[in-house]
Amino acid sequence: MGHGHHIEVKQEQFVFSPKAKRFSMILMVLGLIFAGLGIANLGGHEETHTAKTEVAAHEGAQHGEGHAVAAHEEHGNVETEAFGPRMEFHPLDKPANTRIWANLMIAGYFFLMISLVALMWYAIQYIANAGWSVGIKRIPEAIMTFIPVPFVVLIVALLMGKNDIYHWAHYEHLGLKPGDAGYDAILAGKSGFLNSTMLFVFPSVLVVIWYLLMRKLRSLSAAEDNATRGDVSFFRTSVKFSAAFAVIFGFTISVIAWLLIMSVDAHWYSTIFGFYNFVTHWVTMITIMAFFVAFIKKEGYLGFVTNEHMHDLGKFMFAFTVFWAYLWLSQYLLIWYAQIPEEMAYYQIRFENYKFNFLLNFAMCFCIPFLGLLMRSAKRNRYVLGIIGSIMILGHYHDVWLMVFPGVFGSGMQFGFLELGNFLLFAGVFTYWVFTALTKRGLVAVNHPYLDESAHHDVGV
Amino acid sequence: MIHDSIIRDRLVTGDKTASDVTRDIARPILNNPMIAWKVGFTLSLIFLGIFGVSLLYTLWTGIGVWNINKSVMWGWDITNFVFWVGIGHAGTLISAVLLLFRQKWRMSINRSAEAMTIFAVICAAMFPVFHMGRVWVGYWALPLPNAFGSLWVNFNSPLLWDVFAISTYFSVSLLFWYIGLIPDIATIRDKVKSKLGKTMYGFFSMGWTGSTRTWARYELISLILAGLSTPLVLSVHTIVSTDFATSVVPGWHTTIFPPYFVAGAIFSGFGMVATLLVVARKVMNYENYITIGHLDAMTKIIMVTGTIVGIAYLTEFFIAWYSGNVYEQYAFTNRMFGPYWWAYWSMMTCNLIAPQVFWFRWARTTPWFIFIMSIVVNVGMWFERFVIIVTSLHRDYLPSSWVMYSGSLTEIGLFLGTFGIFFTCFFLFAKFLPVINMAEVKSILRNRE
Amino acid sequence: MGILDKKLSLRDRKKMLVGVWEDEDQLMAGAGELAHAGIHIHDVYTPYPVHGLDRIIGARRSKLARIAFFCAVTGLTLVTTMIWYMSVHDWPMNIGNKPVRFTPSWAPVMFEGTVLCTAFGMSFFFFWRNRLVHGIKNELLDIRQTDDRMVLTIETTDGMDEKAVLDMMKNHGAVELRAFHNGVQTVL
Repeated sequence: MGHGHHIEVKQEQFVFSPKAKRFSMILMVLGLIFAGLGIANLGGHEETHTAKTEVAAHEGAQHGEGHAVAAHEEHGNVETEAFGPRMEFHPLDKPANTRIWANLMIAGYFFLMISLVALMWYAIQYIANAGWSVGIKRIPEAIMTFIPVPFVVLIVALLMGKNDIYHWAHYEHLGLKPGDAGYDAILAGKSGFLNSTMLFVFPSVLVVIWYLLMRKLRSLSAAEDNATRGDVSFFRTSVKFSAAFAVIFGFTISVIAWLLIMSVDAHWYSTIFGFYNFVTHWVTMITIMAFFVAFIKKEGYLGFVTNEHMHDLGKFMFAFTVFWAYLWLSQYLLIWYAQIPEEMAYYQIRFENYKFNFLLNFAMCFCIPFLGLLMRSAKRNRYVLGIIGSIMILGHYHDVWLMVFPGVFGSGMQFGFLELGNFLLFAGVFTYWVFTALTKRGLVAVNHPYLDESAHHDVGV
Repeated sequence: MIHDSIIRDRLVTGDKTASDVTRDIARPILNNPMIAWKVGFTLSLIFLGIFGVSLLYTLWTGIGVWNINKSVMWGWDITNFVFWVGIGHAGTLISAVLLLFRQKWRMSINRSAEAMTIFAVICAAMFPVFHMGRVWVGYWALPLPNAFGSLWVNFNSPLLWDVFAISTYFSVSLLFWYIGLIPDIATIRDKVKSKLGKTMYGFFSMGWTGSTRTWARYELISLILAGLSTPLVLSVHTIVSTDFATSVVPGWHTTIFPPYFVAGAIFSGFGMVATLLVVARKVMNYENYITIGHLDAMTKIIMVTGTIVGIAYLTEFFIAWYSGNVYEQYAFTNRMFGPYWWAYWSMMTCNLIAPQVFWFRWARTTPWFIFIMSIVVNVGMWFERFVIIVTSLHRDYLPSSWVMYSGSLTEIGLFLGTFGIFFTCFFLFAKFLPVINMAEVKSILRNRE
Repeated sequence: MGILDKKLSLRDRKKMLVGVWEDEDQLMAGAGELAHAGIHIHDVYTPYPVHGLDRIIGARRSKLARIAFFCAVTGLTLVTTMIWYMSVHDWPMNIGNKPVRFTPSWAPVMFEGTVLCTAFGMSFFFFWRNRLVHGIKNELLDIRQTDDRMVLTIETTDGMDEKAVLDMMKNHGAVELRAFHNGVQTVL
């Protein structure tokens, strides 16, 4: 393991090359084109079809108790009648632009989580005294600066579309009292948590706290670069702030997932949901990180970051793919097994109306990466990692889409041009932002006490 | 390895050489047992006797001597089962997960932790097996043809998953442990003087010579076994959690159970490892191998997993309110303020609040304090299982079946008796096998120069 | 190619030069120079895994991972067939109205069966390949090679300059040099 030879690591300065610029621009332009196509088709065939069936169903159904019937009459499935009163309710007269707000909300949530999870990765490396990852630590450090952008998008999307995205917000807006037609005791019971004030204030407060901790960690890292070699005080302080962030994040991230995503299916609940969301974004962030490492290495930087580091990132992608499947199965198996109507509703609607997406989701997030990354040689091959990684990133974005869209729209939606365009647009902005952030400081944490370990990293067996 | 950062603690202190390692670690095996060992072993045998008596009484009289002939049909027995299975998780976690994460500090503690895993799983298996009542037809739990008496087993049943999970876990852990032991058994083989010793260690060392080719393959098989054992260790406690979570009992059916049980298992397992090693390093003079740095790392893991378990408690509690489901809401209010409030608050204090003292460096580096805390963790995790099982069962959907439950003398005897099994095995292990992985420790002596 | 690694047994070795080291760094340097000089090192016996030695003696990377994959596929097939045969084909039962077909609740047993087959299948091949058998006679060159000494062996060939090889070993800190001839060692 690196006996005898010594690798000298020098500071490098990343320059936002035209190639990198072109890449993010292409993503954005493609995104705009697809999104534009999607918006042009908003009033198209698919949409009217959905609206028609839902309106038809609505006419036959009472508000409130009739939630279920709306969804059932569509396919006249007698078996599903058992899920009667708790079946998800969807306001049926959704304006066409709800789809735009829902898309923005998903992209905002997804990229907010990616940035936060990058911060979590960064913190965990400090807490766990990880040596190997020091060479690539500037990448999560750049990704985590993205926090404010998706957050603003998220807030805008929620301001514009909250009543159409969230059934409970619509319900809150109606202001029903006990005894009124359509009064929903369950939603009324949740109003202490699911209300508009909470929706905006709670995430905002947390994002401010997280953001400040992120700035603090970044400034410590910058100060370390300018300090004398061998001064570990910045490292030790970073460990303390990392621990603080990890604890705050650990206790709050589930609440964010419940408030923003789980509440789309307002009657439904699952205790694992927050953790599952975390892991979905965690594995995606690791993949994105691997992409950035591969890209800037190809540009000629970070010579001491070798295939060994890529191999370890590949191992992380593989391991957390399996872990994602474990959590996915934990939730699905338990709900499938107990067959309690109010829990089944979530999978019922996704399995009945979105069977293709449901299966595609599992294939893209588990089957393909599992088989694709199983072999050692696959994890050490940039092209394989690139292809499998792209599938994973899109798959996990689609996973979030699948958590939201069936809950908002009932049936009839598809992951179409608008969704793809929206994702690509955000991916372009994200890439541009991260590349810019990378230019802000040297690519190498030259005074980090574990840098030498990272430079001599070898996966061993 | 030479490149390990200067700010890392030395993994082995005291400037040991390879032959020092052999001498120190093989000493208890090559010499006559110490007084402490004899006293401990005798005590363990007494507890083993308690187990034997309680078990005979149970088998002779029938399962009715346990107080579970009411709607609390799982009591101390399944509580103890989950408790021991949980403890049986740290060993494989340390040897597999920490191997994958290249945590070299595991090398001083993995051997004893794995041994502990195996003994804990044996203790755990006692409870479901004897809870079957008619243990002599226990083989009906296996997938045997109908002609053997039973029908085919039901693959939809989490209890059957348990049969597969625990037997797989036990045998794979044993295999992993044994493969890890082979080089060390060979070392003992070449040191031991007695003829019987030479024969026995010679038999089990399988002709190991330490060839470089073998070492290379040995390291690869360890890595692959670690890769297999990691999901395995998760699956075992996941499956134990599904014994509860697939049901429709309020307080049991919740989707967070699988990861939350796994975190709890790691938590309790590390608690037990700390209990054993804090004592062992002192009594056996292994302070240079199991250093304060090791204790520091273990207590950090205890703190993290304890906090994760605490987050799961709070999550369950919050979602019970959020669900709007009156049964769930009642189950959780009842846990906190019902007749078993003391069990719930013991659990919360021991598992969520107490481990937070490990934020302080003093607490992480003071052996006697860690010992006390590890006992607290074990108590807390026993209460966790008691809370989950008894508080959910003692309030049936039918109020006429509401009962109170407490373990009978036989049940208590069986529980105490499993400590007899556990420690008897552990003392025998400490006498006849190297408690620390000599070969691996030798490879990290030159960690920093 | 048989499964058993023939290089492991000393019984077939006629004549060898044996060098004993007590220091890992010196051994690595010595082995490196021998390999560099084109001398084929038969094996090095060490009390603990020394990283990089396997590359120096020219051992190929083990194919164990592929065997593990093969065992896993076999195990998965076997266990899935078993469940299907028992609960779908031979004697389907309606318990709790769960469907009689492939369901998510097969997953746990399928997983456990796969792991069991992989772990034991792979270990079986591992033991076989490495000549690890209960009760086999151990062929030690030095009683301390499992304690703190490292033993390097070179099979002599016609035309090998044995003197130069021994000097090379001595210069790199070998504490003892021996000749191995038909199972008998003589200290040089």
